[in-house]
Amino acid sequence: MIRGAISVASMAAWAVLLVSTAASADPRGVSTVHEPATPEQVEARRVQTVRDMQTWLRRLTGRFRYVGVDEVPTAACIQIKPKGRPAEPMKCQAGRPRDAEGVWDCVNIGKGSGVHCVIGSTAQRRDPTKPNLDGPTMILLGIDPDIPAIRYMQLNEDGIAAEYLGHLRGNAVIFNAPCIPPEGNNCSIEIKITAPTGAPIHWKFDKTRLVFDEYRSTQRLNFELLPSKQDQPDKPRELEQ
Amino acid sequence: MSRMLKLRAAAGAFASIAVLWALLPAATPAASSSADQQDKSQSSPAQAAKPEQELDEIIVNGHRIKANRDPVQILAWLRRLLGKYRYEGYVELGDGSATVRQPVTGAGDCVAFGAAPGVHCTIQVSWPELRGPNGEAVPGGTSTLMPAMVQYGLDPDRLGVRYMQVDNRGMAERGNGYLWGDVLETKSPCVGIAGNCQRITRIEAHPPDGSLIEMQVDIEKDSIRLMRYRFEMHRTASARSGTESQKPDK
Repeated sequence: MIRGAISVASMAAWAVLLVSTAASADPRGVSTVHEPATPEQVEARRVQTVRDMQTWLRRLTGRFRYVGVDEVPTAACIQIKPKGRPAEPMKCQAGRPRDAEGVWDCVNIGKGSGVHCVIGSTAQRRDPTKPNLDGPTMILLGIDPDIPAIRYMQLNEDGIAAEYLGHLRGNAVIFNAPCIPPEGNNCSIEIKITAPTGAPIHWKFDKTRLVFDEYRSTQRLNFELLPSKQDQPDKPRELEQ
Repeated sequence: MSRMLKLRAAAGAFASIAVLWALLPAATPAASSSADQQDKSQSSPAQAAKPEQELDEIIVNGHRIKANRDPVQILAWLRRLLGKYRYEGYVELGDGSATVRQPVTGAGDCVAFGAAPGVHCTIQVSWPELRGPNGEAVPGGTSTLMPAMVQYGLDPDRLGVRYMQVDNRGMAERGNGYLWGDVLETKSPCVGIAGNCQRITRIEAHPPDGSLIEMQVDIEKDSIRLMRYRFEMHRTASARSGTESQKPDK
């Protein structure tokens, strides 16, 4: 009983101390402790983010041609270790940039904001064992309202499905995911799609791989999506019901 | 669904054996004799006069089913999904105490993408609208599959199947899972339902000559089923390639 009373008294003392410390932290005597958002505020923020994502997704709809650069590293890294001397810095061959172009065709799914895209490339496929955009690719984009985030699933010619989760930051959505095997654990992919209103869509694909935990090898695809003559992106097309 | 049930039964065979072992002490002679004595003491004179009956021999065979992790066979299974379908079945809403079943109608078209292939499906599936007692919307009461798109592909990380479905509101449901015989089973968190909610999907696709694909999606919250989508997909046309049909003009 006595022990209980002591513990209650000590807790009260701690509470008083904490309140006085928080209040005295600001010279004006105003508490600087931020009040946590109420559940209603959190929900309102979530709903607004979902709306923003819906607006953003609709910007992707249309038929585009893309032009850009596809930079693939040769991954030929050399490190010379002479006897009795410290190892020389690792030398890696720079990636060879290559022009890339193709067609990007996206439709809305029904009247919703979900987007289905087919990407066709005119480039020849180099390495059939690696996922890339050299061949035709299908992309499905939709919203996970609970997180909230945009889900992105890419299906390549080999039937391999890669999945990414992206968050809206201004006019851009950044998707992150580990690489598809056999790239290994030291590999990650970042896809950044910037889609401002009334401007070309900028699509950036960065695959970063650590070689020997030292050299950072990056595959970079940088595309601008321009409205094609056949279809304007301002007029969203949707899958017919 | 019969095959699916058989598979589940076979998978549960080990569990059955475990239960039998657990019950075994009760079947030992000492235990059984005391149990017999107790039964005899409690049974009526007429029953006690009956000759003792022996149970038939019960044989339980169990074999462990392993998920199929062979990419070639997974891709072969994916190929079974290709074709045009007529949808039948039902949507069942409710937690078992008061369930409502609505008939389903619709159509679907699954095309191959690439040589492997990946599978891309466009579906148009609906059921009569169902609302709450005060006219409010209830989860699953209205079809959001008019239309919807689904992509299925090989999951190279887990050597299983990965899928994503986007409905006509733009909401994405995704999952990844494994092949168990002819059945793909995936489990993923629910979308739009708070709490401990799981979406369990089972797709049973028989070899290519089969004309029926069965799909069942259960939405379970705290292990209680809230919804069941039971789709029977009757094939109306064979497969075609989506690579050519959906590839944009160059």
